[in-house]
Amino acid sequence: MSEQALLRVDDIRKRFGGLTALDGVSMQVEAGRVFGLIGPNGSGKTTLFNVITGFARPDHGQVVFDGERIDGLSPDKVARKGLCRTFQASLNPQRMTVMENMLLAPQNQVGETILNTILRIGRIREQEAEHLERAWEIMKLVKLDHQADTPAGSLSGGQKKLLMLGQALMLRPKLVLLDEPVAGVNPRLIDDIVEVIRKLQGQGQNFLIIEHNMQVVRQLCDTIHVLDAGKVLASGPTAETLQREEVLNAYLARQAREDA
Amino acid sequence: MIDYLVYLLTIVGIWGILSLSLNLQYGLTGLVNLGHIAFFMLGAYISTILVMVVGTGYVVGFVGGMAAAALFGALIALPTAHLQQDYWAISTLAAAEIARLIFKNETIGGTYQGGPYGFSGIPQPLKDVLGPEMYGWFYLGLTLVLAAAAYLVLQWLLNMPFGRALKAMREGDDVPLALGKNVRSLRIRAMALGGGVAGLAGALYAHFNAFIDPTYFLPLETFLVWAMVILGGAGNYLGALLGALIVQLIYNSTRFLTGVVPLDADTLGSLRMIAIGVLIILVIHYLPRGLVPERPRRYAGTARNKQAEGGQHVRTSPSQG
Amino acid sequence: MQIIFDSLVRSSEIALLAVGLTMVYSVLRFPNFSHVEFAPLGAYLALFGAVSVGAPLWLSAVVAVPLAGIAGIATDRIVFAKLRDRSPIMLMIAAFAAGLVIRQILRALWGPSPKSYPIGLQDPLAFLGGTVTPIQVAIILAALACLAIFHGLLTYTKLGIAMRAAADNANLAQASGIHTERVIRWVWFIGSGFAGLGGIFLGMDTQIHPMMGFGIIIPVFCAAILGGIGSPYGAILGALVVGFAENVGMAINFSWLYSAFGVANDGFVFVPASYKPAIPFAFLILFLLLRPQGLVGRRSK
Repeated sequence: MSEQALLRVDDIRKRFGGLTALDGVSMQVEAGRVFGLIGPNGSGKTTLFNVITGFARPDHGQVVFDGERIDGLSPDKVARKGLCRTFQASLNPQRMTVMENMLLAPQNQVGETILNTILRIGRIREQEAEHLERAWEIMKLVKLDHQADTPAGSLSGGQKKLLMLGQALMLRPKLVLLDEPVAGVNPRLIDDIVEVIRKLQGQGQNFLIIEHNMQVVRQLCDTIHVLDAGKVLASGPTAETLQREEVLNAYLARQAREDA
Repeated sequence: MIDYLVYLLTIVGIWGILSLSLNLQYGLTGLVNLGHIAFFMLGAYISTILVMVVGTGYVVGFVGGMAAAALFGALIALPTAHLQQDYWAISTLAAAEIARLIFKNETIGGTYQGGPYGFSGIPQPLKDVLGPEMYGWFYLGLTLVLAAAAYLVLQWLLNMPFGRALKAMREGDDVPLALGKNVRSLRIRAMALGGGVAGLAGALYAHFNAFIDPTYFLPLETFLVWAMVILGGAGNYLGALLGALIVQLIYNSTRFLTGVVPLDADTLGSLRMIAIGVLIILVIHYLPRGLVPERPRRYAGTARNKQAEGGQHVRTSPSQG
Repeated sequence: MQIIFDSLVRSSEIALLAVGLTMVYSVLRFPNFSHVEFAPLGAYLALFGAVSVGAPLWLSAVVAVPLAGIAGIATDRIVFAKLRDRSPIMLMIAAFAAGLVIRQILRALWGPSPKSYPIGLQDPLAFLGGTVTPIQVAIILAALACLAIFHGLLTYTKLGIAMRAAADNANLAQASGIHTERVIRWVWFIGSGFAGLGGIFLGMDTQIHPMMGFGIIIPVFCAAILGGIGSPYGAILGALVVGFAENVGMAINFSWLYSAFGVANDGFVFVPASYKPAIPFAFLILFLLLRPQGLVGRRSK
């Protein structure tokens, strides 16, 4: 049974000056399963995210999302097509509160046009109320509901990650790219996050996740792609792929290089 | 004395509107415009030219001035994505100076108006009807009403999703872009709106002072507006107004000091600028958020009943009940 | 030929200021709007020495320059030292304020009207088809000498190498053990000193007045940005470009352009003299739109 690929990446190449970050990456993500993207440090995972979401232009290759080519589009256009991402670093506007951050997220807010604030005030209030409700529910999920009025800058590192996850969920995208969603998160929270993601996936939300925490990868991801030195090393069901020799070697080799 | 207070308050009102406009662009959206006075200048000159030379009514003049300033704002917003913040800031300084040089050099053919002489005898609305004394009160009223209107409109927009999107852009483009916001369009709108409001202040000033010339619009004036916003508190409109009040008080205080202090007018003029400069440096060192800090909206009390009514809510919120 | 002389003089003045500016800009990471105010500072100090103290001009200049340098260090200590970790915008505004204060202090002390050095009118010398005064020749030569010495400093001394490293990448420099605060002090001293010297030259070439620094701010920034922030050699190149652009731009007859568009003209279409200051402004904007990374240097983001 072949599923229509939700996201397909064909032969992507990307160089930065003299450095080749991505050297012909091809892979796909299908709906209905949680996909993981793993690889040693520096293998190009975040660069791939950047290329997919429009934050970087590929030198070669294409990105096809939901049947449409999206490579070369600006990041906001990509997001509006239903493909959203979080960031590895905590980039949320630090001076805005948690709730403001959450309310910022949804797309197609009528109130973002100056004219509409006069003409369609009723609809704006309606939307605000809807978004507010949804925001509360998501915040409860990610355990930020007591921090609604806290400036994002005052949150702990892990909480900032949760906020980003919450924002991404407010968007109701077709596919969410999570960049290290549990890095720096309190271990007790990690289980909650995993549970949340699983639940959401059961409701039809699709994920592609970069992670280093192998336990989380095993628990969460059905299928993984392994990236090494800008190339796809292996793809397939998680447990099986993680045991493949070339994958183990890649990690060991990187470890050896780091120890040297 | 009363007359002077009326005059002073009108000036505070006009500069207060200017301050509000810079607060929108910088305090809320994070755009560093070092040529802000150009909006003021365009509002003043275009309104003057429309009313005096072309012969339109005052409303057309005001609106025309605002439109010209808004257009200029949109124009300089175009390269922002392309340039780093400080390079863009320097370019706005250069753009404002070029605009000023054009107004300085171009005269209206055949008259002594325009050019380095500026415009004198600018028509003042209802002056003949009211007479000079009542005119002062009338204009004060007009200015305060317009200032209040500007404040209300801008505050209104701040609480709208529009204002929220602008605030998100303050700290970087990445997050708003990732959330699907059209950052470029938002920036252009912020600059155009801010420009238009500043242009209103300019038009008000031209018809109040009855005289404008290129030396009124030097980069120094931009610095005064920045001083107002930073002192008052970037991000807070009331702060911007407060800043305008304080800075203008200092700026106009020399009038009272001549005669009291044994220094001539020129030196006092320099001293007041030194005072403002030192004040701003002190504010940046010790009170970086300004006098009136930004106050975000509080939502703590808005949570609905936590025991959710069944599971018919939106998809991404599995109830925990 | 006249154009070349005029341009060289102008470029010399700009170069001295631009070199200091580009160093401070790249080491401290913000556009220092107070830098140009050390030009009038130096000029007025030299004036004070020459007129009030009665010393010969060259001696006053020699004393004024290091005084300007010290003023630069003082300004850094008072205004910028505590702001090292703040956003460039705040630093920029603080610099604007500091520049304002310096300018107004000078204005308060010496008054707003222009002054001149007591050197009297000079007979211009005819030389290769153009005229140039001895003072102007002195300016060009002195600027060359100072820049050559600076080059020597940058290339052959430990301090110079440290300065270049800090200009390239301040974090890396600090990590590799270069004492950044010390380097910063020297950058301010040399930068402000050069600015003071440039101001003295400007004063000799034209006049001394409180708005001198502000009048030259855009050409100096233009030169620094053209050359790439952080590259003193680029700044010199940029200064040459700006100096020449100003004078060449005034000399170009745009009649052909008008004719090409079918606009009637009398065969002489020049940029009006009153628009001369606009040339560097327009240049800067065009350049930033087309090539913000500079001709020579690279701006590390």
